[in-house]
Amino acid sequence: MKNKEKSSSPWGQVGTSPWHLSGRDHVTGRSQFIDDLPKPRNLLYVKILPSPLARGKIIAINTEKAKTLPGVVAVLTATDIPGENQIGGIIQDEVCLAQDHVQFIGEPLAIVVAESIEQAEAALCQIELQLEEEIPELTIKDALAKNQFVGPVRKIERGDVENVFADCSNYLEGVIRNEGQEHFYLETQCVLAVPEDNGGMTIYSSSQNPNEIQRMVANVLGVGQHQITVDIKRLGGGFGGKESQATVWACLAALAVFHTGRPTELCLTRDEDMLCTGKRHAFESYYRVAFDEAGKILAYSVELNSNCGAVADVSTSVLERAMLHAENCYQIENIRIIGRPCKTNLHPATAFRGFGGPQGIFVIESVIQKMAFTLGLDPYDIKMKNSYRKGDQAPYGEAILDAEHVGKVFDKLRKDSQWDERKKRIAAFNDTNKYCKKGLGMTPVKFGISFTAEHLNQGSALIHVYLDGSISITHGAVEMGQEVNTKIAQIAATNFGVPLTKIRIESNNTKRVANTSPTAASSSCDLNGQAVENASLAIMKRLRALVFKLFAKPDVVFENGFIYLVTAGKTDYEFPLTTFKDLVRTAYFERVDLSAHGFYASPGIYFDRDTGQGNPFLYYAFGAAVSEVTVDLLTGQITLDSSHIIHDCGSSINPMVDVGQIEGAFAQGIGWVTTEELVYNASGKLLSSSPATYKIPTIGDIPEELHIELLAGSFNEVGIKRSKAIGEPPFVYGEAVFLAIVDALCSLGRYPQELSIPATPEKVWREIKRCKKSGDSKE
Amino acid sequence: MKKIIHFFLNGKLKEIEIKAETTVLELLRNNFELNGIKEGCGEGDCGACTVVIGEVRAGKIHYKAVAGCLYLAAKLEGRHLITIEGMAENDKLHPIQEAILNAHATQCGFCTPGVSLSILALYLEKSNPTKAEFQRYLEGNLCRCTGYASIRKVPDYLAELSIAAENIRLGYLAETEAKQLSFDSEDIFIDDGNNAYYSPVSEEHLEAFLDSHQELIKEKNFCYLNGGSDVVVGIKKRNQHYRLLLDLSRIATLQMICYYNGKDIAENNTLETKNHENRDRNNNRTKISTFANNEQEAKILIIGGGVSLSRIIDETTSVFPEFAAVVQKMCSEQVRSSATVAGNIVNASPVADTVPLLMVVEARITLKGLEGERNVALRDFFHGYKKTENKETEWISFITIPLGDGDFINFEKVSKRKEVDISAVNSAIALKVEKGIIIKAHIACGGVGETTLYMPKTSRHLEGKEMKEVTFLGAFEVISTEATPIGDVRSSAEYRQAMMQNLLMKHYLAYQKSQEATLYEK
Repeated sequence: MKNKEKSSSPWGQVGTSPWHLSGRDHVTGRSQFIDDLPKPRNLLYVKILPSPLARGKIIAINTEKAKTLPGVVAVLTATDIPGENQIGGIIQDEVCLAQDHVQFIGEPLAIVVAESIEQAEAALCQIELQLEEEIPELTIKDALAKNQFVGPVRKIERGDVENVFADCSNYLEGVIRNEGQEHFYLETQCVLAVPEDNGGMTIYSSSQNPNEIQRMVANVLGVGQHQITVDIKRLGGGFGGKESQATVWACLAALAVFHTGRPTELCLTRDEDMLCTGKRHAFESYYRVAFDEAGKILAYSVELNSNCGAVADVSTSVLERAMLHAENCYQIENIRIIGRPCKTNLHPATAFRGFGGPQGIFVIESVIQKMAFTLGLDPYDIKMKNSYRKGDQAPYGEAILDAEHVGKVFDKLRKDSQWDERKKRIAAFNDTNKYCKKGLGMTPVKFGISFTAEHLNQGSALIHVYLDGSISITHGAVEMGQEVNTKIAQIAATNFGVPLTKIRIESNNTKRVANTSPTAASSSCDLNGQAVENASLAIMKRLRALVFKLFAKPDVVFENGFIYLVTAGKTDYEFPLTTFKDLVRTAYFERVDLSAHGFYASPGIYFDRDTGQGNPFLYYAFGAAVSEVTVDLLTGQITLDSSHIIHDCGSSINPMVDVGQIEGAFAQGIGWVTTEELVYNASGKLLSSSPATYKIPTIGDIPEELHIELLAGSFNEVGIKRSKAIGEPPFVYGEAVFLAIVDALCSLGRYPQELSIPATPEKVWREIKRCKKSGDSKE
Repeated sequence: MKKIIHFFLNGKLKEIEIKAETTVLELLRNNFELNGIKEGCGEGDCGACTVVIGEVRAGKIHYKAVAGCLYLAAKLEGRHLITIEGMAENDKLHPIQEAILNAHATQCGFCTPGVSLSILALYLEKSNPTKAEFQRYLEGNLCRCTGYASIRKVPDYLAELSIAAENIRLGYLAETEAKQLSFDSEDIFIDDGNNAYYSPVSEEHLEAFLDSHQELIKEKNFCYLNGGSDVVVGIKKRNQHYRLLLDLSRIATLQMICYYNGKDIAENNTLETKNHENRDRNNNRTKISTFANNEQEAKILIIGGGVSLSRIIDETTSVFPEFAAVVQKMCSEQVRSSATVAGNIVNASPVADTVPLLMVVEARITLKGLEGERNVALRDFFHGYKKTENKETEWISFITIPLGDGDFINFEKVSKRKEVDISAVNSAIALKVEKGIIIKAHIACGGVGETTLYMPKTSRHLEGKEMKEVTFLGAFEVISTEATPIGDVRSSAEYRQAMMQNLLMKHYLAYQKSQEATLYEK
């Protein structure tokens, strides 16, 4: 047999950038999202009645009239829940349908199940609600004043900050604020629930967390988890917004199935989604910092207060990550980090790309910016002076793996972005321009990879090899655009030595992979990729044994569907020993097991919350960004002129996917720090609840000059195929844009300390006005 | 009652019974089970429901991207609807689709059908689009995954495929275009019992219809659709239903764009039927003569009441670039392609972006209705919040825009996001400057009162003064007495008050820049 194809041509193996695994379906419109699935016969539609009040007592919910309307099959409230009215994932403080009292605007009070959406909507208006209004608490200040938290207050501490503060020549203190952010996944929350025989149910949900849906639906219905199957093919975006907050909708659709015996669909409109579901956490953080004349940080104390909304959701974990990122890339000997998860009457804040990390990092980055202003130094110099070096330890005691990458990134970015030249050019520009000012900002990131909840660091996979050499893979991650499926298919293609076309990644299904962790923490490819690695290597071990039995040749490689002999380190591509397909057929007749379950648990991870010490991360991802902006002093409007990013993603499994993740995360970061503004009224109602008023970036908001480079020569020895996780860390680069705005405003001679995220035109204008005022008073 | 429409769907003639309020988004997903089109917001702000429409204008087929959630299915009669399912032919990917995959410009895939079709619409209209044109067509497609950098590279990847321009055109276009051109253009009337839709082909037919449906008119339960980007959102999201929708989009005479440069009339008279042409040319001469009488040298632009915002950019940039620049900053291409200048005016939003500029250039509008035709200065058109001079049955037939010789005209707006965002405040100015002195000044602002406000005191204040920074600084106090803005979700009253002033300075800076540019050219 002679091989005509050149085997060195890429077949989708690790390190190349093949097309998106679902790309063909995406561009032809064939990709199915929940609302695109074929509608089952007898489908009913579910609409929710959201609470109109942020806080109040439920006196009565009268559904009698609504029940009589045409097309209405059921109207359900908390009393109709057969199991436990409880869906809190970490802390059991969250109900599925409001009972006795309401805690936030948008909290589901009742559902209508009807033959059509229109009929369900008509019935919603006929539910008579009697609520007794109470004064809501909406702000972090409100919660702090009353000591209202959704979980325990935590602390991480090293050295003795008070001692340094007591005797230091340079000291600053202040408050740093950021507002929340709407996920704005393009596919809104959506679920289809279908009854199965023997009391079972299948749930198709747009969720990052099939396991939690399975558990909570079983809990709410009072049935065993084995009765509930969750199947998830793909999400139209998640970004954390569907990690825990897809659960309630799935439970409500399941409740409707339970009572009607018919399939049900619940899809939120954009407005409903934005009103009812939680966002990124707003933070209000108090800091104190001591430093020397050269900008070396001597002591840093920070109190991170997050606005968690009405229930805990994943807020305690988000706050923990904020605390674990409070020092970012800097070695600070004396440091104290306190975290308080504030309880208010807003929709429960939840996971959002970065998961608290960006908020924790934002404080120290802002502090250094202000130190630089105070000392008259370049913030880049201060950052370099304080940066982690090889052998350094984080405040929680973990040795920073690959810490030397920080310095590498800092040096290269300074050169590539022409930081020093730009600074000079900008100073000259600002001297000659009265109505606009330019600024330059830099933000590095050190992002810890792993779930901080130790038990979640596990992945699983199920692989079947079929007789024609094609392969079916189910793994524990959910595809939501991050191309975990493409990467995992590449891992399998590499291990089996088959082209990508021979691999099918199945939907995530609780019957094929069980007890999975949510697709989150940037680590779904790390964990489930490793599980796929383990499963594929298990099958390969059997196949290699067979090759040895058949050919008595110990040294062979599997590539692109062929098995080649290797002699003296040279692969004989001319004459393959056999094909993968033929080998698999033989294996079947030899009764070799062609299926395998794979499992992986990250080693050596632990964290003691009470002492604030441990080894919470397997490794770290690094990088940094520089951005230049122009601020229009008349309007406060911003133009993002250029951005340079260098990012460490180890040895990339798919470089174009990783660059795409950086670009996407950066754009979300730009939106968070500039135009995306959540405007609430005094009653706690979100006013910017549609894209007409809530502005995520468009194509015009991305800088014309955008350079992204993957750090060369990085090999992550503890990562899957020596890669590093990519999803969240680059989100932090948006903060460089914010710091650039601050820098531009500093050219007016005053530090814009009240400017918070997002720096909307109006807020920037207010800072400009304050500059004028303080300037006037000097005159 | 007729409820049937005929249109082409991805090259195939379809005949289907619809309701008056059905949108293309609903039609495709519910009636045709074509699920490639997605609903992302249902109000024309995200682009996930983008489709391409092919329609006849001036004997030629033009293609445009539209928002499927705002485009009523009834409007499809005789038109060609191209969806994502129609892009790959015989399972062979369209070059644009291939370029998207090569660029890795798709992640979760939810926005991808819309993105693909926006790019298709662009390449069907502009064979070799510029970067600016690419941005113009794509700024209405929100994508939360890619960050757009990869989408921005799609033209490069397309070029790499070295595709001849004709390969961009779908295989079935030529045949469908021929069929479309021979399609009989007649009035459309659909009544589903609850709601009705009427779309006449001429103003005469509209008058006759109004005349014969006095009862409906008396009930005041009807609404003109002049693009419909706001009316349809009202129907779908605010429960504002009407017994009757009167669509002006098929009236040929309302599609006129006509330019008189003092001597010749340049017409972009895009009539669907040829026999109307001569009569309309004469009409246009009459229209122009009524304005050109006094000043023989005056330049005049006439825009029909049905002209879309996209056509303003495409067809008037050479004669009135300042206006095209305003329109470019409004909404997205999917909306601009159907929304009209006249619709922007009659909707009477205090932040309508076309209005301040048209006010300061002293545009006039011609209203038609059962009681005949009349002509009103735009400055006198608005009476209060969403209240206008417009009587119930009247429609805007055309807008007359005098283009003063060498006047400096400028428009500024502030909004949270630069593209596809509603103004917090907008402002327009027209100045005649001679020997450094402001001879004539007109200023109008939006977002600072119940309607767009012409600022007489500020305008008069500037006249006779030197064209200098200090003059404009001096006008700050004057303009602040002319309006008392309020605060809302977009911005505070205080910010609006300040912007009213600061945009004056932006006008001055724009003037300076234009002078520098002239100097440089010399």
